[in-house]
Amino acid sequence: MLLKDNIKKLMDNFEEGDALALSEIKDECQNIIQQFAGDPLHEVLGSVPAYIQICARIPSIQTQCVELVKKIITGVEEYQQANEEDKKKALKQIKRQVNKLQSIVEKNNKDLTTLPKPQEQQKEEAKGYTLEDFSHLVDDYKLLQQFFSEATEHLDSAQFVLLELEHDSTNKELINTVFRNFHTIKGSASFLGVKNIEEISHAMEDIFATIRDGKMILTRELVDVIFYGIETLRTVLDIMQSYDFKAEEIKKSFTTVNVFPYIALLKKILQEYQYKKIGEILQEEGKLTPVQLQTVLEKQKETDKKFGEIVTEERLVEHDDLLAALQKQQKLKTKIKKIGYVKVSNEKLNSLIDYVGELVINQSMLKQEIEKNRGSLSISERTLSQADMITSAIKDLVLSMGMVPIEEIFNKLRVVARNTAQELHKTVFIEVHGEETELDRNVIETIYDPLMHIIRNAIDHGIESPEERVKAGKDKVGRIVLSAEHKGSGIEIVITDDGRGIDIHKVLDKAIAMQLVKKEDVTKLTEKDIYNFMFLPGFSTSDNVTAVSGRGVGLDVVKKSLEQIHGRVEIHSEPGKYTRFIIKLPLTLAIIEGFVTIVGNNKYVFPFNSIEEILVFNKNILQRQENARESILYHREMHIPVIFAHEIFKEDYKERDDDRLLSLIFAFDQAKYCVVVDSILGKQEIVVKSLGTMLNEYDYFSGGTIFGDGSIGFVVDLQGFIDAVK
Amino acid sequence: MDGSANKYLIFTLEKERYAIPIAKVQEVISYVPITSLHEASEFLKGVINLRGRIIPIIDMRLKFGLQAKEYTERTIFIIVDIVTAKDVYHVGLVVDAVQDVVEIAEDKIEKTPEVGFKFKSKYLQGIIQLQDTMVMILNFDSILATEDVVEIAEKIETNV
Repeated sequence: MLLKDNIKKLMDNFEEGDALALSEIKDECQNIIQQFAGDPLHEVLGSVPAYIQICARIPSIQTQCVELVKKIITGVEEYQQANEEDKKKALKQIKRQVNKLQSIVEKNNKDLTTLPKPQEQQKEEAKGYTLEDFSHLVDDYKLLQQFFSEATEHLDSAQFVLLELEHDSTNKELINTVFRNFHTIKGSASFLGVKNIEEISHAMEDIFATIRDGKMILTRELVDVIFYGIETLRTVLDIMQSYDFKAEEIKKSFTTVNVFPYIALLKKILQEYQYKKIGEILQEEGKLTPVQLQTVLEKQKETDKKFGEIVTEERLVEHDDLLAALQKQQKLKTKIKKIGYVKVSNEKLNSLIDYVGELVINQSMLKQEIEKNRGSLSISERTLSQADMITSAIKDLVLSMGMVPIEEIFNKLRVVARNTAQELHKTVFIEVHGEETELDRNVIETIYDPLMHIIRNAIDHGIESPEERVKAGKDKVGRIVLSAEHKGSGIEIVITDDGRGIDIHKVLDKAIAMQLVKKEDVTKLTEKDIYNFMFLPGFSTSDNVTAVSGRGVGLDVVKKSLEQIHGRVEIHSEPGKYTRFIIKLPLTLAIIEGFVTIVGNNKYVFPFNSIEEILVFNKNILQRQENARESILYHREMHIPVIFAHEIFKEDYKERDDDRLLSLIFAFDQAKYCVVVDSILGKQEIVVKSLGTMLNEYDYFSGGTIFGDGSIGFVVDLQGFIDAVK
Repeated sequence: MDGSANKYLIFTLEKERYAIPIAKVQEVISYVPITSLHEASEFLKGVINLRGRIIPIIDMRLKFGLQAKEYTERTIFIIVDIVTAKDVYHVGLVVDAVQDVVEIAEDKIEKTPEVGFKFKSKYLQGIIQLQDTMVMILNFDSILATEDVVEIAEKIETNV
């Protein structure tokens, strides 16, 4: 009884789009079903959890489905209390509701309905797996865990290659890669006795073998089906992980996941599409006329030439198109080039980086000490400099190990974009630049979620529906440009969509409504100020809540997670034209080129890349406005504000005898700043260390560092520094 | 209660004795020069270099609102682990002296009385009698979570 109270509560509180609640409802449902093992009700209810699972992906029918499940549960209660005679009636009633649920789910489940549904086989096999099917499941935590990460990797790879295949669907190299991915998964799964994964990947492998042999063409619809399968595999893998790779529990859970309909679907596809040739498909798509096709095929019989070669010879395909395709292929070939990899846990790598940092510091301490006692020690110069060299080589190597190209994230984002676009019935083209840009892996880990959020936002709010776009004179297909590049001492990631842009008035109205700003103060706000409202918690200008976004949680989370890694985000937009998110990130959290200065009693390190020049000037040339706290320096035909570092760092200020000031000129955020310091020690590679949560309130420090002599310096974060001045 | 015993490190400030669970203590070191941080809160004295790691130093006297004391070669730093939701970091505590490591059975620890105590009870995990004197067992996470000097209950009582 308790169980039913639970599920009822869940359903009463259900909100559209809450996939988590749905999965809880599904679990509860499963629990209830288990109670009726042996009862006729068990069979009737058997497929309900699967429908709930599917409907988690289709927000629009969720409320409807939950209502039906509610009715089913009430029916179950009636059934329990009924006497033998009424039981049959109640059972019928429940059956009717389940059928209703089934029809709604199936009607809306596009992934499955776009292709012919193998009705008969489905009925035959719909009962799912039994515990016996998994009797060979290896009960070994390590092996299963390894399999999990290996399979996940292969799925990632397959997913990415499939994206490429969508534009280049006959590329054999790519098809082979996907084939190998599924082949490997199948092999490991069969070895470990993970039967469901084995069978799905087997079916996938068959499909790709057929495609590889040219007997089938990879259509968009088929890619959709494969994507769906990959998601299913992921779900199964997630089950393994969520049960902590304990074989017994995994087995139990596996029996509730019915993958047979999907496998059957793949088999059906294989049968139906098996014998179509590339030429036929080309003809279907209107790229070749029937007559052209016939000629090509006849030519093929006469020579040994491939279909593609003949097509080009006959000038049926544009030369430029072919060239572009070839270049793409070449690029991918180099990408696929195999290098042996060894997997190391993040934790180990991080502590390795830490230790190497300490080693570098120790090395230079050692050097200084030896130098001091040169006379009394008999260490040869050569030994010392060699040790020096080795240390620095290790340091470079280890630091490079900590860097990963952003490509991995970009690829994942393309998948996200694709899925989101499909969910919202929009077509979006993603253009990616600079995917080879390398970032600290700790940064990479944090950056994915915010980027995903921005992409989903862009597709949901930015990109208009195809009809709207055509009306506005834009290309029907929305365009999102995702790029990464080195800029200054950091990395800039830019996401631009060519959608409707941000309506600044709407933002303002909302800000006024939320009492963030008074109506009369509006004119004082800069464009940047107004966009910044959007980063506040609970701020959403979207009129309607969709499954994707519009709940007002989002941009504030984006900003917060970026701040965690010292990143910043800006918005630029032009109504009707574009919205652009610019994310600025530090290159690495571990090491920077620093410029070491002394202010008061401490050493302060400024980022070297932002320094324009070092300037010594007489303090009498400073111009100070009346009542103003800051002075202005007129230098190279520019008015530059002068900041005394002592004031910011609360250090003692020592007046110099000669009235001269030593300063650094910084270029930052399109402005220049002149920072006065006491003395300059020079440029140095700085290992940035965290100052710990305790010192986080010092926004103008990005961390601390330890010098060769063991002394500590503070690394200045320019944005924080400038903010502190303001 | 199974009467399981845990080890505690006892340190002194003025005449009072305090205990912290030894599991939280990473190490005890003697005085090393502090790189001072200006504008820090009063009790946050600065940072030290502990084998290549930067560790903030908190003066427990100042944190508890006691009279400051000059640092000497005999000043002691206790390096403790602070576990937050995000990560584990280290903090050094300046205390007068470290006395002893003792085993304290969990069921011997008394709850702190609501009134009559120097500190608000939320900063104390409990009290215990050891060698005829009272030892206060500190609730570290809540003490270091407060940004300010630890409030002293007496002050509040006199106001009532």
